[in-house]
Parts: sequence; structure tokens; C-alpha cells
Amino acid sequence: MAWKPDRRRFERRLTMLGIILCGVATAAWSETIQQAFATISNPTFVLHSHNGTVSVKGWDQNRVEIKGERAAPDAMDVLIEGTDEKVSVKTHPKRQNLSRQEARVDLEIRVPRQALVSVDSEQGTVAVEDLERGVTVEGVTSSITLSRIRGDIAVHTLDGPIVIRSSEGHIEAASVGGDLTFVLVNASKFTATTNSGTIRYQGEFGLGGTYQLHSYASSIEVQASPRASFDVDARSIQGTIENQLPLPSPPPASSVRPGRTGKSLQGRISTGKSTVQITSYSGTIRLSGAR
Amino acid sequence: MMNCEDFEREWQELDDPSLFSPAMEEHQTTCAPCAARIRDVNRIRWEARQLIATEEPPSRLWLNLRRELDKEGLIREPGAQSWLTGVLTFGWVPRLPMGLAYASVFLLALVGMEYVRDRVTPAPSQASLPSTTMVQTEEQPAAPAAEVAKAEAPRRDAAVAEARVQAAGNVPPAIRRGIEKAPPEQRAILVRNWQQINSSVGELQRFVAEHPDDLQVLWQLDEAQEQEKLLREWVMRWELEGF
Repeated sequence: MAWKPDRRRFERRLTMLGIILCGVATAAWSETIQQAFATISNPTFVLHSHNGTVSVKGWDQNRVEIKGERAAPDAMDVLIEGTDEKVSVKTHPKRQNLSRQEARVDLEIRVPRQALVSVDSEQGTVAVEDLERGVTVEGVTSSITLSRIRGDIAVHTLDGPIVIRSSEGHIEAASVGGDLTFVLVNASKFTATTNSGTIRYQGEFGLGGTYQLHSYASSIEVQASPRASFDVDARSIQGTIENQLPLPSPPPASSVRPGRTGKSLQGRISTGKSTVQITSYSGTIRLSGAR
Repeated sequence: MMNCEDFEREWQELDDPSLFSPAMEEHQTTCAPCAARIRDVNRIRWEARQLIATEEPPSRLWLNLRRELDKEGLIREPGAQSWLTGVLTFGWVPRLPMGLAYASVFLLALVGMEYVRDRVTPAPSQASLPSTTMVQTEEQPAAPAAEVAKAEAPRRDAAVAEARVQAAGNVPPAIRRGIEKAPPEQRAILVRNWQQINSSVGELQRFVAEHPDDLQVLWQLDEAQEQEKLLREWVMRWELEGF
């Protein structure tokens, strides 16, 4: 009888063993971080994260609380400084060529709702929630999610996706290659710019604001809610426009307007409270909803 | 007439990268940089295939191993003795070190093979990624599957990215130095974005030169140049301070 090893089963068992060993090693080497600072009601909070999962949440206490876990204490520095007006956290590699796991520092932070928050992250995920004065986030490949934020919101990434939901204020989001997604976002001034990521907006274009959505080569998808009221001016220089908005007159989506190269479309939804300008150089613009 | 950017995009979307459309065929015959890039990537794919073809150990290895394990008495035909009897009589204790040694060799070989496969296997094309829908309710998770796949793809495409860094003739030396200092998993992303934004700026500049009164496109050019500057600043961080 020929002896034939069940290689897949063998690999599965080894993988399981590896996972268990990794878990044991992580538990053995990781370090818990915990620190808190009493602050004024509107302190500044600054975070520089090298790699890891970051969560910043607003709460109804005049206190900044930092909890976290450092996967490899010998590999990463975590510098925490604080006064009643400003708290800063910085994670930084102690040496070069760290693995992702070694470089990981996960942080869970609570700040007063009125805090002014600034986060700078290279890799990982950043989630910011429940703030009332605004937030600035910069990321390289980090995935950024902002929820329930009011005030000045500025987010920039190189390639990481940006998601903003249930927020309002003065909003600026830009990414070279990341997707931008906005759900239930209202702004007095709104700018979304990307070179090659997709822009998606789902909401009512509220607050009577000016909304500008710009892409170079990627698509822009707008789904207006039934309560939306706005004037729209969309143009794709070398791409196309697919319109399903109930504009009063047949939209000249495929017409070429004098003086403007490419496809363009204008129209009014409801009473036109807000102004929406959508431009793409070679991407497709898709408009729908508002029924 | 297809431009380099359209070519690059269509190429990335192909299930089979060798199945060019007529427009792509035409472009590659007239565009030397794109033709060179195709040659480079094809060479890398060919080399990757060679490595993958040798990752399965030859059958004689299993036979030799079987013979050795038999000799050491570490394996028996099923039914010869119950496992419980074997355990209870502790007959396995003297052979444990040898068994562990074999297991270590297996483990190392497996990890090595997985490492090689990760390094050389090209990423799946964008066309094969799951699509996302535009409608999203408030309670849905933030990162759709496509985004996760998008984040994973550059890691698997590291070999191609390295070649791109080397082959990217239009990357200025200072930017290239910064990219080379970036973490390996970030290099492909930086090169891809640098090439895309560079191509966008070039295309917009050409358009503005032909349509100097088109303020919307002029504004887009400003935005693209701003993003190029931002990308340059990020790369400089690695160059100067390792982020």
C-alpha cells in the first residue's frame, strides 16, 4: 500500500499550530498601556500613530483617557505627554525594518467632546467618533472612518479609504488613490477630491452649503435622498454622465455645451437650497435618487 | 488613440494580462515605455511560475521520508497496535526527539514555501475583485470587501512593485530614494500613486495648454499638483526621518 500523506490536512494542522503559537507569543510579549489626564473642556489632543488600530471617541468628561496595547515593547516607543490643555501621544519605531506585528500599537482613546483632535497615521485603521469641534486626520495607507463629528473636518490620505458618516460642518476630504465615501453628511462648505479613488455621496446635501466633488479618472456616484434640495452642475471632460435624477426638463447629459468640452448637466432638485458641483476629467458621473 | 494611463488601467483589469485588446496591441507597438513595462512584468511572471512549479516536493522525497520513518519505527500500518496502547506503554518517548526534529524540518520547509509563494505570486486583477454597491446604511461596516482586497493586493504584488521602482524612469532620484526607504509593503502603493498623479498632471497640463480659458480644468490641475506635492512630502518624510 502506497503511503501518501494528506498534505492539506497536514498544512491545516501546522497553520493552526502557528496561530496558537502566535497567540501565545503575542500574549506573552505585548504590553498594556493605560494613562489618564484631567483636562479643560476643550483641550487639544494630538496623536501620531505609526501602525495599529486607533479609536478616538468623545465623551462627557473633562478627561483624556488612553488605553492601548503594544505588541512588541522592545520595538516601539509610545510617548505620552499631557497637561490640562493639551495631550499628545506618539508611537515611533525604535529600530528599522520592523514587521507589521512588531510595529503595531493599538490605542483606544476617550477625549472631551469639545476637544480639538489631530491624528496622523501611517498604517492601520483610524476611527474617530462623537466630537463637536472638529478633527484633522492625515494618513498614508490608513483606513479612516469619522462618525458623528461636527465642526471643521479635514482628512487627507495618500491611498487609504476615507469614510465620513452622520457628520456636519466645514468638510474637506482628499486622497490621491483612496476611495471617499460620505453617508448622511451635511456641510456649509464641502470639498472631496481624489485622483484615482471613487467618490460616493449618499445624503441630502443639507445646510444650504456648497458641495464640490472632483475626481480625475475615477467615478463619482451621488445618491440624493428624497429630502434633498440643490442645484447641480456636473461635468465630465472626457468621461460620461449617467443621470437618474428627476430633473424637470430632459437633462442635456450627452450634449456638448458651447465653451465647455465634454459632457455636462445642470438642473434643480426641489428648491435648490444647496449648490453641488461635480467634475471629473475622465471618470463617469452617476447621479440618482431624490424621488 | 489610447494613452498610457488608459493602457495601464485596462491592463490591470485584464483577467489574463496577455490577452490585449486591439487598442492595447496598437498602443504597445507605438509606446516604448509601456512595451518595456510589459516585458518586465512578463519576465517577473515567468520567473514566478518557475518558482511555483518547484514548490511541490518531488514524490521521491516522500518515499525516502517514509523509508526513514519506517526504519526509526515512527510509523506503523494502521491496526497493528491501537494508539491508546502505544500511548499508555510510553513506547514513543525515546523517539520523541527524532519526531520533533522531523516536524521542525517540515515546519521550516512549509514556512519557506509559503514565503516564496507570497513573494512571487502576482495579485489578482481588479476585475476579479468583488464589486461594491453605492447604497450604504449608517450601521454597515466601514470597509467593504473590495477595500480589504485592495489593501491586500499591493503586498502580494511586491515583486512587481520592486520591478516598477526600478523601471520607473520618470521617478526623480530624490523621490526614488524616499520610496526605497519606505516600508516594503508601502512601496508599490507609492510608486503606483506617483505614476498616476504624474500622468494626471501631464494630461491636465496638455489640456490646459489647448483650452487656457477652461477654469474648471485649470482648477483640477491645481488640485492634482497639490496632491503631487502632498505625495512628495510624504515620501520626503521617509527619506528624512523614516516617518
